[in-house]
Amino acid sequence: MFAVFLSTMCGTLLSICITAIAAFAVTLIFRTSTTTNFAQGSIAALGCYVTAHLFNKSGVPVWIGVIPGVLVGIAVGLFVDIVIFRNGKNVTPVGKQIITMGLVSIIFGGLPLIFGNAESTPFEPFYNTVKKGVKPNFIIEAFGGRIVITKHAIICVIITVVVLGVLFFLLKHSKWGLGVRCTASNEFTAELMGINTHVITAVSWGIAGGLGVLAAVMYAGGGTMISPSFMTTVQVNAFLAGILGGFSTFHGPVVGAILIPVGASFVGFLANFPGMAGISRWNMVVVYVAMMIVILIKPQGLLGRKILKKV
Amino acid sequence: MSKENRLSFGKNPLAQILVFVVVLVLLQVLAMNGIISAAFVYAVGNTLIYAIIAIGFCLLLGYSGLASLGTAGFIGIGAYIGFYIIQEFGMPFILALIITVAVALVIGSLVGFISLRIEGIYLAILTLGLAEIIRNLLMVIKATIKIDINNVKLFGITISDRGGYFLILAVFAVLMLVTSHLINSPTGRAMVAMKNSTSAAQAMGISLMKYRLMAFVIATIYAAIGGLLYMMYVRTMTTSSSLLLTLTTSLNILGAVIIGGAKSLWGTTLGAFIIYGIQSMFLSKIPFFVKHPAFITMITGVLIIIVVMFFPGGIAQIFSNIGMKLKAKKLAAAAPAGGKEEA
Amino acid sequence: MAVSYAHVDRLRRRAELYEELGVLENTQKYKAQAEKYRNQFVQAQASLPKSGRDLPEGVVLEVKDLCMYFGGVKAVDGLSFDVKKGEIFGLIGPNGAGKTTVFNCITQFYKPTAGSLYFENKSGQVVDLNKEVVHDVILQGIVRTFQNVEVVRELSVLDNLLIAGHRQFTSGLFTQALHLPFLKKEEKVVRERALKVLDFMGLTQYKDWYAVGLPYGILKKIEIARTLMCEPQLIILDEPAAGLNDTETAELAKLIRRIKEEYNCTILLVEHDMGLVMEICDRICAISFGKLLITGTPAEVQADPNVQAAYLGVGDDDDFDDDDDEEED
Repeated sequence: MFAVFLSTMCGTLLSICITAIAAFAVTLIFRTSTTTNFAQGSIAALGCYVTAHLFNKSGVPVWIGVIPGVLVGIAVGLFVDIVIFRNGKNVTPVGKQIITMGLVSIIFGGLPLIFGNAESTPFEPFYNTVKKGVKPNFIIEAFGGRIVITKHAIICVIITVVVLGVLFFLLKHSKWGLGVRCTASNEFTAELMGINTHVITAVSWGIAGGLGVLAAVMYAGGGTMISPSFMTTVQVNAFLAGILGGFSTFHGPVVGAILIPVGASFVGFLANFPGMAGISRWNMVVVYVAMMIVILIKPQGLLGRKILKKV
Repeated sequence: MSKENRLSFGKNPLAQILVFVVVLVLLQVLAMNGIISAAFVYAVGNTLIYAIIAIGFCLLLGYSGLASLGTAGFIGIGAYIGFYIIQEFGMPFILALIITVAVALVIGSLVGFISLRIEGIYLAILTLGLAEIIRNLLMVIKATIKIDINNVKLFGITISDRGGYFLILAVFAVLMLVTSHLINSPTGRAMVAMKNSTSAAQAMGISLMKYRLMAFVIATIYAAIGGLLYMMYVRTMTTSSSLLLTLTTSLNILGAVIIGGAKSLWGTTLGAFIIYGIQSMFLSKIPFFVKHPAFITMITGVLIIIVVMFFPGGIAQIFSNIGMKLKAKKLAAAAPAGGKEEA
Repeated sequence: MAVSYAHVDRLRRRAELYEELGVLENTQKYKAQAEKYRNQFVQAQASLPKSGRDLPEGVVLEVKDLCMYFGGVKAVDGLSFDVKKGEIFGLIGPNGAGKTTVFNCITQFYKPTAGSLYFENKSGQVVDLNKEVVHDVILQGIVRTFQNVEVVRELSVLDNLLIAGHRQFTSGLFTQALHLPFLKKEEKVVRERALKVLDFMGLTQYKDWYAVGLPYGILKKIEIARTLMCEPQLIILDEPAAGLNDTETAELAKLIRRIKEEYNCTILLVEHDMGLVMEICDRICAISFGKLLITGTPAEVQADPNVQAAYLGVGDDDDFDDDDDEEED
């Protein structure tokens, strides 16, 4: 039984990586622009479509095709901040939220027009390496059972650790990171102190857009069917992770991003016990309710700090 | 600086609603006589359902300044309650309505209470999560729901397409009246105050939680009623393939409110007709739009962004600005004439 | 069962409303009910260990050992002062002294870290303000204005005043949703009250104007007018003269005196304009870095060496802090 448990947990590795990257991106925007970027998922989907198109139509390998995809993500991110947010007349935080929702509508509507209506599993030949004679999984015999880890998940874990590690390092030790932290704590004061908050927010939007695409390609590379809305679930989980961990720090949401997929698959794992078979369909409900209880007790999130509003 | 006292008594929403109802009843009469197509009038009824949902959302977004992305989930709850009560248990429509309202009240209060305790901006996130979960859950429970027309009964009378149309119109009229009354009362004022300045509202004795929750619960109830009416009117839904319960619907409703005018109930109704009505009433005959139904979604998105950026009051404001300019012109035209007489 | 004072107030207002409408039997009925609940409330208060205590004779607000810390920043640190009934009391101090924080604590926008705040409310009951929720403070008769004018821009001037009268409405949700006649009667009474206040403030000509775009001086007046809507016992003014010119400030001084006399209330104000403070205040409390320097008459405060040191920066040259106080924690 323990082996089954470990196997289940290994199965969540990919989803932890994707959620963590998406959660970091969402937090970056939340802190620098005081808004929630609902287009995070759809920008990611757009970039993923680009990569998939290059892969399927032109045969560009995924690790190269992901670069133009990420660039598209960065470009859309920059566009939102520089062209849309800067030019609106007194746009409020809720107004910004709504603009990102509008962007979701545009991408939802635009993707089928550009790439056709059919939903597809673009990276099937990529992840399905069995045909080429390469086994897709590592199998470890232990604890009286077999623990299965996909190679794709391991690659993704490495990418995620490297990318997030570099970003956290930059946040802590680079000039940009200092700027982000200042802007996050008080945009107006940061501006007075000579920080160009416009550059800071624009760069943050670019990074968030790129990260989203990276997460989307990792997700789709695991054999997921892509559609304009295929990142919605990931994005929802990223937001919930942000709330659970607390948006007031950068590491909080990443911790939340580990807890949510693990929590969901733990509930799924419970279905292995007699009499609990029906529970797996309720896994997200259980996680959602558990999260609600957490924020009922600790509204600022597990690792969040309380912020007092100046009157 | 406009000199007009909008939130005051004296303006009678009843008259406006009556005119609207009479026009829509006439449409149905024309359709009965074969002058206009029945499909067109059916589409009007369908759009009216979205208008009902949008009115509730208008109270939430335009008056309380909160955004929610859970609309689709609450529509789903209403639709499934409708299916189970009417089809599976064979109960009358009225009972389904009562249960829908009760369930929406409970879920809305719980989710609203928890997410509004933190900050207004969290509501959108938590409701988005809720809607996704509800959709996935409903899909697992039953992928396709279908109601037999003979089972839809109100006071013992079977409701046909035509009956459904009148019922939707009646619900619309009642909810429109109630909502505009609420807006023109201390509650509406409190909501606007809260949206403008939370500190001032609190110092004046307005409980943020109470009015935010009230707005959210009302929006939830209207969405659930919309879902129930949809089930009664369309009578079938394939949850896995239908867009109705996805984020697209929540965004479209938001779009209707923003584009029509977040602070005007009639503007919102117009917004619903723009986003849903034009597509189902007119564009459904043009091959391009039949082939690319997503095109209208894209246009909606572009409109949302443009309106938020440049016309925060939506179409309703554009109209009222034109009206004001005309008035000013009339006054300007009248003034010199009066001056001459005196001279 | 615990009786909430808000309920007593609600019944009392209903009775008043019927009195103004001339429906005698209802007036009697609600008066009796309000009295009954008030007695229950008094009994409940008496049984509580801390509340229900008496304030010294003539004192309306007692601030004792008030502390408000933001992490390591001690914005207010062990501050005590009394405000007597019917006086104009000034709170002064250099920038960053914690004046606005004191106001925010009294009105419960911040929950104090420590210390007690006792207040004698409209009906002569002593309440522990720390137990009140921020939006219920107004029911006790405490109303405030804000440093950076918080007027509801989307509403007309009259509607802004009606918002201040929000808690005077007793109609429930259904009465409002259906616009039953009771709501209309209520609205009429509150509206007349608002018109009276506008007349008193000389704002009648602006009543139908949207607040957005009105001159700053008018907005400040609207804020003060708002405080008069609810039979205030204690009006808290946060820098009422900021941004006004000399003529307007002189007018303001007169206005504050008139308000005190006409509405028979106590006024507590923070102000940087020393001329105004010294002219109108009966007593002044000077604070610096959250600590009390002196409480006394304007002459006493002016003569105090500590106050001079705090203002002129003798021995301490650190008063370039951003406006008032408090940041995130």
